[in-house]
Amino acid sequence: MDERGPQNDELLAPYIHAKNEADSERLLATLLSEYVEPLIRRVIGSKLRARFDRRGRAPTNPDAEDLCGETLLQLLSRLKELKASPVEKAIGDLRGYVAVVSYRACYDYLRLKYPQRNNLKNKLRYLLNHQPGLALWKTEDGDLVGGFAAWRGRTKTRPRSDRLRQLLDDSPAALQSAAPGGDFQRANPADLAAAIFNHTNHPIDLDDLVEIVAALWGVKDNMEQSGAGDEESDRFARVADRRADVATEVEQRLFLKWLWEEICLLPVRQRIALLLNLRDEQGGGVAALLPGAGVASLRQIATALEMEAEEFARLWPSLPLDDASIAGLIGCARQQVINLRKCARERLARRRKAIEAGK
Amino acid sequence: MKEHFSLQFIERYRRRALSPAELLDADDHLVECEMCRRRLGDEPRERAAAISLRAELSSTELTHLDYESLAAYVEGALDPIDREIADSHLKLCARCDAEVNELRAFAARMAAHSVKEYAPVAPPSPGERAPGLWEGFRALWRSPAFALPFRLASIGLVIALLLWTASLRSRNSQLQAALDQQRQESEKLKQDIQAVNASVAELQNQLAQLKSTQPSSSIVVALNDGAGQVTLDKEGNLTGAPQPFEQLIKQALTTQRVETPRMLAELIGKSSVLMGPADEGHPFALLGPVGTVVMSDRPTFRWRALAGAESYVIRIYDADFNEVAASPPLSETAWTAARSLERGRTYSWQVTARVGDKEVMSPVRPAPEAKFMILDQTKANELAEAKNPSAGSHLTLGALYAQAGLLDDAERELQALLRANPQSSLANNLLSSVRAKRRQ
Repeated sequence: MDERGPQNDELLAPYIHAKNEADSERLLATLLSEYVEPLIRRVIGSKLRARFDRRGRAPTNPDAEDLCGETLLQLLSRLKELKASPVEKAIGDLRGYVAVVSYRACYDYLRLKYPQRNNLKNKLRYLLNHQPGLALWKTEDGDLVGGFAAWRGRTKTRPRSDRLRQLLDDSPAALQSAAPGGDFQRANPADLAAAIFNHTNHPIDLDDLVEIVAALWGVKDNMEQSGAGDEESDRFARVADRRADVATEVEQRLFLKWLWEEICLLPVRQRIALLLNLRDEQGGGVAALLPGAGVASLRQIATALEMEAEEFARLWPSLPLDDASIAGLIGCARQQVINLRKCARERLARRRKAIEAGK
Repeated sequence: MKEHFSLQFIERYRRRALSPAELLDADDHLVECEMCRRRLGDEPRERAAAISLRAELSSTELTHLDYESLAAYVEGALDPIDREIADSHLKLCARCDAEVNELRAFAARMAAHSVKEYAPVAPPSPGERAPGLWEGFRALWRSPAFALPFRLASIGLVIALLLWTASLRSRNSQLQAALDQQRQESEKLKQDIQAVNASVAELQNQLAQLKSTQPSSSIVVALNDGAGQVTLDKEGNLTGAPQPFEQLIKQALTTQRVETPRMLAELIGKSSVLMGPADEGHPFALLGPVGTVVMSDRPTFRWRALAGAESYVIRIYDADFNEVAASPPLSETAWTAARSLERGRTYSWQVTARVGDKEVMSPVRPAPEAKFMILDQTKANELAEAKNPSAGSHLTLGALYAQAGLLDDAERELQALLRANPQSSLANNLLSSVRAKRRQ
C-alpha cells in the first residue's frame, strides 16, 4: 500500500490548501465554472442530444438542464467533502471523476425514463460483446459503437450516412431480406445485427442501433408510466424523512439501538465494512459511542464482527478505520469495501423508510 | 474490575488510551454498572451522531447495477464479494432485478441459436470496381489508327452482343425469380427451425428449473451439461456423467465444490489478490497465469495496462530466481513465451513498464510473487486422454482441470456450466469454489 495515501488531482491543490473561507469559495467557484460545468454539459449534451447556450440553458431540452443542475450539486457537495477530508475523499483525476458522475447521471436518467429501451440497450451490448464476429468498442470521444469485429477501432460516420438514415427512417423496409415475412421478433438477434451492419457497411453508434432494433422489435416506453417508479417515490420519502430529523432525545437513543440491531442482521462482510468505518458528522467513530450509550458492549461488537474481543480491543484506538485497512481485514479490494458499505446503507435506508412510513 | 471508574480512568477511556486488557475489563464493568455508563456516556455526541446518521440514511439513494455488473452477474462471472453486493441490491431494487431477468432470458435466447462467426459481406464501394477498362476502350476508339471500317464492324458486333444479352437477361430474370422464391422458402424454413430450437431450449430450461426447484422423489441434482443432463438421485445413482469419472463428479455434486491440489497454496502465496485493481505491491494488475498450473509449455501472459506506459518487458524466473526468458519491449499487454518452458517446474514472472524515463514493476514486495507451474508431461498426457470420454461435459472437464490445478481452465468450463444452468446454486457454488482458491 502507498503510505502517502491516495493522491489528489493537481487541479484541486489550490482549493484544498486555501487558507481562508473566502479564498476557498473563490477557488471552488473557479473549479466549477472552468472545469466541472463545461464537462458536465458536454457529457449530458451528447448523451441526451441537448444543446446548451452560453448561460447553460437548454431551451429545447429542460430535462437536460435539470440533470446538469443536479449533477453539479452532487459534485459541489463532493468537492466540499474533499476539502474537509482531503485524504479520505481524495479525487485522483478531477476530469475523469466528473465525466464518470455525469455519464452515471445520464444512465440513471435514461434508465428511469426509458426502461424498455434501456433493457434493449443492455441486450444489444451483451449480443455485441458475446457473439463471435460482432463487437462493441469505444471511440476516441468515448461513444460506444457496434459493428463487425473486423471493423474494430473504426469510428462511426459523421454525419450519418444515407444508408443509416434509411434504416432509422424505415428499418423494416430496408431489412426485409433479414426476416422474410417481416417477423423480426423471432429472427436470430445476431443475424439481425449482422444484416444491419451489412446494410450500412460501417460501424453504428450504439444508441442508433438501439433505435433501429427498437423499431424492428416494437419496443416502446410508455411515457406516462416511465419515470414514476420506485426511485420517484423514494425521493418523496426522502423529503418526508428530512422532516422527521427533528426528533426527541429519546428517539435518538432509540435510533442508535435500532441501528445496532439492524447492523447485526446484515451479512458479515457488510457489517464489518459499515461498523468499522461508521462516523458522525465530525468524522468521529460511532462504534466507540455504543458501549457508553448502553447500546452494545465492546464484546458484543466484536462478536458481531466475528472477531476475538482482544483483536477488536487492539483496533479500538484506531476506529474508525479507513477503507484500505478494512479491505485488509476482509481480504478484498478497497473499492469492494466501499461497495459493501453502500449496500449496507441502502438496506438500512430502506428499513428506516419503512419504519418512518409506518408512523 | 469491581471498582467504579475514576475521573482519570474515564478520561483515559475517552482518549482511547487504555490497553486492550484494561479496555475489556472496563467493558465488562460497564455492562453491569449503569452509573459508570452514565458517567462515561457522551449524550451530546450520541445525539449529534444519531442526527447525522439519520440524515445520511434518509439521503441514501440506491446505486443501481451498471451494464458491466449486470452482464457479469448473468454470466456468473462476479467474485463472491461482488456477487453478495449485487444480490443485496437486487433484493432491494425491483428494476435491476427485472433487468437481470430480461438479460438472462436474452442470453438463453442467444444460446438457442447455433454459434457462427459473423463477418462483413457488403459489396465493394463503387471506387473499388475494376478501374481503367472503360477509359482504355475510349482511348483506343479515339486513336487515329482506328479506321472507319473497323469502327463500323465494331458497332455491328456491339449491336449483336446487345441483342444476345437482352435475350439472356430475360431468361436470367426468370431464373432469378425462381431462385428468390426458393431462397425465401428456405429462409422461412430456417426461421421455423430456429423458432422450434428456441422453444425446445426454453422448454428444456423450464424443465431443468422445475427439476431443481421441485425435485422429484428420487432426483436431487439435475444439471444441463453439454448436450445432455447429469443427474444424481437420493440413492447416490449418477447418470449422464462419463463412466471413468463418475466418482469425481459424484464427489463434486455432493460437496458442491471441486477438489484442487494442495501445491496450489504454494503458487498462490499469501494475500494473492492479483485479479483486482491496482493494490499493495501491484502498481498494475497481472491477469494471468497467476497462482495456477497451466497446460501449455508456452503460456500467454496478460496484464492490465498502466496509464502512460510506453512499453512493457516481461521476465520469467525459475524457482531459484534465475531469469529464464524475457520479452522484447512490447506495446501490447499480452505476450506468449517465445520458447517452451520445462514441464513440471514452477516459475514466477514480473512485468516492467516504462513510463517516460521511469520503470514501474509489478508485482513488487510486499505483494507475493506471481507464480505458476507448467503441468508435468505425465499429467498432461492423462488429461489429453481424459478429454475424449468427457468431451462436451463442462462439469467433468471443470473437475478434471481443477484436480490438476489448472484453475483458469477449470473456471472457464464451470462458467460454461453456469451459463447452461443460470438458476442453479450448485453450478454457482462449483464455480465459486474454484474462484475462492485464488483468494486463500
